[in-house]
Amino acid sequence: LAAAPAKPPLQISPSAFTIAADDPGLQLLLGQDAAGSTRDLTAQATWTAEPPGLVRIDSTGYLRPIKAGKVTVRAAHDGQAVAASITVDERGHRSWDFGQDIVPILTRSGCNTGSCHGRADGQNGFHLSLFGYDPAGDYAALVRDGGQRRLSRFAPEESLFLAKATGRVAHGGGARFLVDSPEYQVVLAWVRDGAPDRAGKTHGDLTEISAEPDAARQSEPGPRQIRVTARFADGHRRDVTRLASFRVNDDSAAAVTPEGRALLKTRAETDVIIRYQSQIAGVRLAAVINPDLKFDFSQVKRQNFIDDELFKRLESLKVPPSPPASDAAFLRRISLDLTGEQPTPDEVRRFLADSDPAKRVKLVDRLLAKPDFVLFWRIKLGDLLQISSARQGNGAYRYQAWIDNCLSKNRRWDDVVRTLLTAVGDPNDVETGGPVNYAMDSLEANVASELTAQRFLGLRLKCAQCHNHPFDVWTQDDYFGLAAFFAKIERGGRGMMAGRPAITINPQGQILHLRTKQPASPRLLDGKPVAIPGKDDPRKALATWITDPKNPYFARALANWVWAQLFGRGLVDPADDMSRANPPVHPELLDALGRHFIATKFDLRDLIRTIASSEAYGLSSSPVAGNKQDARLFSHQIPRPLTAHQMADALAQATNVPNRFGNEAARDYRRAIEVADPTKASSILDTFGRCARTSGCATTSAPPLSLKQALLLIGGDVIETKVSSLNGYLASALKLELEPEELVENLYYRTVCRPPTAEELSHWAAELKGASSRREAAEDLFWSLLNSREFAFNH
Amino acid sequence: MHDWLRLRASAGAQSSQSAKMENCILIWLAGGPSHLDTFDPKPAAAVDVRGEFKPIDTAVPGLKISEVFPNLAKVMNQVTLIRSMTSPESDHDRASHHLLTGYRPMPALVYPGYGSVVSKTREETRTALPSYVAVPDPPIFASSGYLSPAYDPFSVSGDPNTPGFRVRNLTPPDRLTLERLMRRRDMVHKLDAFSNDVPATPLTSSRDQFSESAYSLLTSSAALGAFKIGDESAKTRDRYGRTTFGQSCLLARRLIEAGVSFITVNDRGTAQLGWDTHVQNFRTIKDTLAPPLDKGLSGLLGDLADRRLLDHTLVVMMGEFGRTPRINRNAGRDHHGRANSVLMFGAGVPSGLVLGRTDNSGDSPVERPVTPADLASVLYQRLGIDPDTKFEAPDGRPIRLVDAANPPRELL
Repeated sequence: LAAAPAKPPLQISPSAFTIAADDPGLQLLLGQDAAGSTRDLTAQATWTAEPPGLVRIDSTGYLRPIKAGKVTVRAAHDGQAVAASITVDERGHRSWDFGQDIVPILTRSGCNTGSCHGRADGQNGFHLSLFGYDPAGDYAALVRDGGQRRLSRFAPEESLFLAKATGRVAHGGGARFLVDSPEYQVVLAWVRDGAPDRAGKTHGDLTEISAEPDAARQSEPGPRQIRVTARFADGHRRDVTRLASFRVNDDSAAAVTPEGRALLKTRAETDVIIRYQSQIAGVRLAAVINPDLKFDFSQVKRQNFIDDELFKRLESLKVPPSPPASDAAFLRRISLDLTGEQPTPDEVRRFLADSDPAKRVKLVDRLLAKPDFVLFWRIKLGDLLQISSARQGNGAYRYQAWIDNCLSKNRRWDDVVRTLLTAVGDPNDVETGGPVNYAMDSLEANVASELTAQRFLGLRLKCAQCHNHPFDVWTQDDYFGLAAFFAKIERGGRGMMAGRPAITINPQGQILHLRTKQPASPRLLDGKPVAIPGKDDPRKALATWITDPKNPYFARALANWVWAQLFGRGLVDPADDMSRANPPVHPELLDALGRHFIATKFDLRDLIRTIASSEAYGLSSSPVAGNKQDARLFSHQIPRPLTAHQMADALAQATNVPNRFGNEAARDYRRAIEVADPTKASSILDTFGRCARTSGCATTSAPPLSLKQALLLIGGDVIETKVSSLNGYLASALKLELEPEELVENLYYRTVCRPPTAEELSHWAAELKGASSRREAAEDLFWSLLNSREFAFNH
Repeated sequence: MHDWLRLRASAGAQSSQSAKMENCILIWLAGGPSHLDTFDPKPAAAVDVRGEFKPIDTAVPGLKISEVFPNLAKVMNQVTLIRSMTSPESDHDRASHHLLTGYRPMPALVYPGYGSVVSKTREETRTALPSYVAVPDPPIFASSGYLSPAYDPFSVSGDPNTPGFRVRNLTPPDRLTLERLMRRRDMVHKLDAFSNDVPATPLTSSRDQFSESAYSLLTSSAALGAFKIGDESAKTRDRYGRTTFGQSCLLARRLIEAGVSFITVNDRGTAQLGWDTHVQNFRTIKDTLAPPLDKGLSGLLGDLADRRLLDHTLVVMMGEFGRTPRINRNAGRDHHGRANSVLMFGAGVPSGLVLGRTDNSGDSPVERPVTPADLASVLYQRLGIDPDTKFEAPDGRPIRLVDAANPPRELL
């Protein structure tokens, strides 16, 4: 008999731990390491503790203390065993901290959700703060309000709160926890101790939480127990696994129980997001996607660090990248993405004939140098900043002109943002008015601060206005602290400026904190308060912090935004939601992009060039075996519908029949990319989903598809008249009496920017030859190409 | 059977199914009608308040409305009149948002209008026709808001009262025959089959679906027929009045019959916001605004009843606000959010009910104030939609369809 291969040893975690008097318990983890991936055995093991009577440990490895002493916990599995030594501190005379001991139970039990007592007006006269953002208010509500009837110090068991929560008396929300459950025990003990707000030596504020394992690479899909540890101001560490809440970001890939037991359902990578109080942590679960993949990653061409980072990740998950896109597909894609325009048939022919191995990188440089690049990307920046005469009035023209100038001069991004954030004066001034419109756009301090965080830091703070953010770390104090930087900005007009709008600083300006009703003072999102001398513009300090190379959000936010423009999807997606609950697909890649952007002194054009020149950008959109299911990892490009501007111009260019925008004779634009202001009427741009810039647009501005679009293209006369126009391409081509083959080829070049395949060519040429009317058949083919899927998508 | 015939057949089957559900016609009086000069006359008020019109008796004993509505007066026993609509908003855009979505406007979020919500909740029963249509075009904020623009109204974009009225993009250019359109559709399919450069994704297939819907709509004579108002008899057309508003109401009825779930008829009068009578309030109402409304709305009510559509069709008439009791120097009245009148009928709404009352000068409700959220709750419940339904805002926050509503029980 051959000896069985040695089993990898069991590993228990933690191997030693002390449970303090006020700690609820401890989640132990048991695993087995094998070749870089771990097998979780926590729930399969047999758990025992010696001596008996000191703790209770259940079959999932969760331990609850009973009385003081030292115990040895043993986990046995499949003939192996391993032990941990756990100390239980004296259970009596514990400290109490309402916010740390009771509020998490209210949250965990669902008492303070938006549909129960956390509603703005409470429920049946009992109001708690949503998800417990206001412990002081909750303490008053529970202990003092309602005629102090909710808790009974004389007969703690008879407390109305416990009777309702356990369902002993009628409760609209039913039983939230059982009599004698750990939650019940804690609340009862607290009432017995006099229901103090604080008592004894407490641990101070919660400073952070961490989750273990922090990244779990598994050999097979399966379960994974998570442990959540909270750290307090005094350094104390407490297991809060049973008080935290868990959710998965993709429920087709994984599930998680309220006890933190995750289950990876398939070979995939996905995140479990953990929330405890106002802290967030994540655990990335993964099982390699194609364990038997035979693919030589060393043969994949790498153009720059983007490719290094991306292909490293794909290799570790065993997902092959698609091969590079064909030259024609690449040329059409990069032309649309950088200039908004399709390549002309001549450009296609020249590019296909070019044998220079560096022709793709050279093409990127050529396109970036075209005026169309500025025209097209100013629309993207205008969407980001919501430049519109409907928002900023006449100032919108100055604003847009200023942005155009920044783009064409490639002004440093940090400088652009700093200037926008600190400009004062007359927004219509020809010389200096442009950036002043940033402040004109939103004069309410909290709105200005929300928009600033969203546009430049990728942070959505809105939820935190009314309560601590339920999916992020932002608190109401963060929200009003940031808003306070904008509180002194007002639309003034004194003295020389009388009668004209102007942005001025009002030293008396303030914003009231919604909860405390006190004027908020400026505080950065890292928690640092900033003292602003009376007459100063507080935004200067904010701008300095935002644009500091050390700011953890600024460079990554723009890098992610640019990535989203070029891939249709951010590394964090949605691109303006870079919360901790929404981790990047490739964190190292995003970090590297951020570092690169900082190292190049916030050079926007270089960033676009770097991403556009990567092999990653140039991958085909056709999947290969092993990446067909992938829509997340960027193993291939994913076809994106043409944007409104791209579609309008592509139709005009293919048919040689221009669109007309606007009706002012003097400024009769022919090309859609010249139409930046969304208030300029255009049914085709509206139908194809240009950003109205009224509220924020999806950063990738993927035009929402609709029946209206289809009707415009199919039933409308937009394509029909362009195809059959006497001044258009087809009319002139028919006059030349081209051979059917040449006509078919030309139509393909003009619409889908490639030559037809032999099969396509012979099929359509035969159709043209056999048609009773050559003209009608050619119109039909041209119309159909413009209604084809290939034309509609940037692929 | 041709593919498109099959599509048409299935579209027909679906439309009879959705006809069993409650559908809605929203009559929007753009600009804000003067409640004192229409449905809430104050003959006992001071002379600078009561205005030029006399109240007349109606089919409801004791209920009087303005003399400018002789036809509506005869059918008031078939409608509910709310006289206590109230909103803090007195700016056109802000008030329109409040009345058309049930929410006060917020700087960062535009809420969806009623028709877009109905369109979203009825995706399953889509017919060849769009489920939300605006005649001739939608008022501001009657659109998809934070929902996907796929739920925006389909705008008819033309005056149904003009001879030869045609809907844009729904009527292919004359030279494009049905046969040719189908040939092109087959060519597109062939092109798509040849090309493997664009792999199938959820986005590409949803585009394919929209294209197929467009072909089926364009080739469904039943669906297209709904827009052919010229098919109505002269007698029926006259019943609604030969005005833009009257014929818009008639078109709305045709669309209801064809299975459209929600139609907004936007009564602009002769301007962008015709009911915004800051100047010459009385002359404008009497000569321009009231007669088409009187004839069109009473015609709609009668026609819906005759065709047994009234039980399944909710009709709501309102504007963004009422107008100030005090008449200004230009014989006009200005914006006034505090008091406004709303008319409703059909779909089981009580007949002959007058809900709420304003004070002696029509300034504020003194009885049963009804907020836009209350109205939204009634409207959704009448259409079989739970007002507690939650949708997700773009930033992921759950948003209740209607918030903080206390809808009048009589209307549920």
